[in-house]
Amino acid sequence: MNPFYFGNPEKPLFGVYHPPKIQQNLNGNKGVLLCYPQAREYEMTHWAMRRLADMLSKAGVHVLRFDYSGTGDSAGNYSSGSLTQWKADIRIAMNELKDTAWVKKVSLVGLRLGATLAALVAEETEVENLVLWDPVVNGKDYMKELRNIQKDLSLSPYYLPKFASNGLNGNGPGQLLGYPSSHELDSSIEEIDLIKTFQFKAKKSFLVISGETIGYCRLRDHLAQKDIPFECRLAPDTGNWDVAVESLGIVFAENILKAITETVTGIKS
Amino acid sequence: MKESVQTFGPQKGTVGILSEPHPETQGPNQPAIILLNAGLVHRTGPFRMYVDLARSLTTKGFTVFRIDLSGLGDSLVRKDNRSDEERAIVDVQEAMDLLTEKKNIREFVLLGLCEGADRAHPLGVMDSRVKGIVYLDGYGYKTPGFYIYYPWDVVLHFTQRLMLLEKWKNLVRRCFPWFFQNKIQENTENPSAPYVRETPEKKQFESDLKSMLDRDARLLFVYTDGNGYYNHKGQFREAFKSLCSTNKLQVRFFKKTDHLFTNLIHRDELFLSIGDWMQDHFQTTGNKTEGSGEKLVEVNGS
Repeated sequence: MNPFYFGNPEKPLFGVYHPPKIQQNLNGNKGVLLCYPQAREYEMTHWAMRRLADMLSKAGVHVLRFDYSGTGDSAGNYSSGSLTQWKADIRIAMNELKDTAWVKKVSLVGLRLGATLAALVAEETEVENLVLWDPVVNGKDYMKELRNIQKDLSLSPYYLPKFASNGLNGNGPGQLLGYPSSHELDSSIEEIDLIKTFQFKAKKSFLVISGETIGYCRLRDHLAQKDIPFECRLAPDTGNWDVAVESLGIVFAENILKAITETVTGIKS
Repeated sequence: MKESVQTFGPQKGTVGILSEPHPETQGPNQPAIILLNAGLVHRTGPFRMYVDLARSLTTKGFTVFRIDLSGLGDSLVRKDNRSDEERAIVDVQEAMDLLTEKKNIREFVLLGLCEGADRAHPLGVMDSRVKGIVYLDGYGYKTPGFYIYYPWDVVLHFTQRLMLLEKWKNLVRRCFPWFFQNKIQENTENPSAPYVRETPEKKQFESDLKSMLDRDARLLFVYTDGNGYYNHKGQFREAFKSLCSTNKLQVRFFKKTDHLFTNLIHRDELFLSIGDWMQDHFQTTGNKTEGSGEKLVEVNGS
């Protein structure tokens, strides 16, 4: 495991490269970039993403996980983040992984908003495989969920509404679930609709979901209608993201991690 | 400000991010601040609080090191028979050694939220290089005064919770799980082992604090009333009256604030408090201002 900064030295991105722990096997030339979710979900799933990187590297895969601009250990403030910037960051990280690991093509594995960002990147950039773990299918629904949790929090005696709801009505410093928010970022997330996805430039796409929801069913139907080659895998696990986000529990998701490792490496554990 | 990745410890498996101020703002012989993980959250802290705090302190000329204790965040697990508490001590000591070796910094202030504060405490007691500790919702002791305020807190809390429709929905879900079978996916694998806080005996804690104050260490206690064991200004003084006569120990109370400082306004107030305290006690350039005894910080009006 090698933690390092990369990209523009003025605004470096933080990443951790996991070299393959087994050499010279079928997976030796595979590179996987892990795309984190955002905000609260990032903190809750950091451990799971590290574990996933470990599992993939043990299977012989080169893995890079990284923080987008304004998140985690990368430079910048969260409120100045944007979907455009984060998609650009994914491309920078893909190139970094290619340079570091000497792999020609990179697969993207994303979780929640990270999966959505990966899908949006794969619309324009060629990737090997695309793995979407519980993606955010519809930005409006996602933001509505977060705001409902915020509303709940704001009624807590320790979190008075006049400050807590500022991010919702545009007055004062905006914030959503402990993170600063900006109108630009919120509205760009609200514009997300994976059902409008036309094509992925991926050899194969995988939808790995922890539970059946209307959103995932709609996405599955849409991909099938558009003849986009994909496989859907259901791996029952932590799937109630709104409940998980509210309780801020650490997500382990072992079932999903195994399913993704099998999907990427083609090896049954 | 400059940020860099540092690895240290066995096989260089412990990871930290070092934030260094511009050389012009850095005073001579100032201590570095080491931030310890808040529970299981990795070194960025809840809501990226540690990153923002580190960057804010570097603007005041301080060097800040955010580390992942072994087994947390990006740090590898130590393969030895030490307890979690012992491992944390060794991890932080190795972090201090690294800063001495690389940056010639020989004095340190430890800062931690909740479990992080608990981990900092024993090291502060035993290692004279530790010149200060910031306890964010660290150990606290209920006093008679706590119980006077407590009934009102409980009534307030439950009245507001009853107003939440979602809470009722959750209750129904729990009572009739089969009805929501397809909607609820409980994770039964890998349940996180909750941190069980073992608060030291009050006398022991008092003696620990006294020993640190006797060697001129500076201590800042920040409490929120969202922690469940501290609910009014003056509770610390009620518990440890003999320690509160010195300016070396200060207490801040954040009223109507949750344990994680979720609200950005609370966090801004917190950063301000910590920054001022660091400048008062450890800044070696510019004018120092003296604080005095227990201060009350009430946010959100009360």
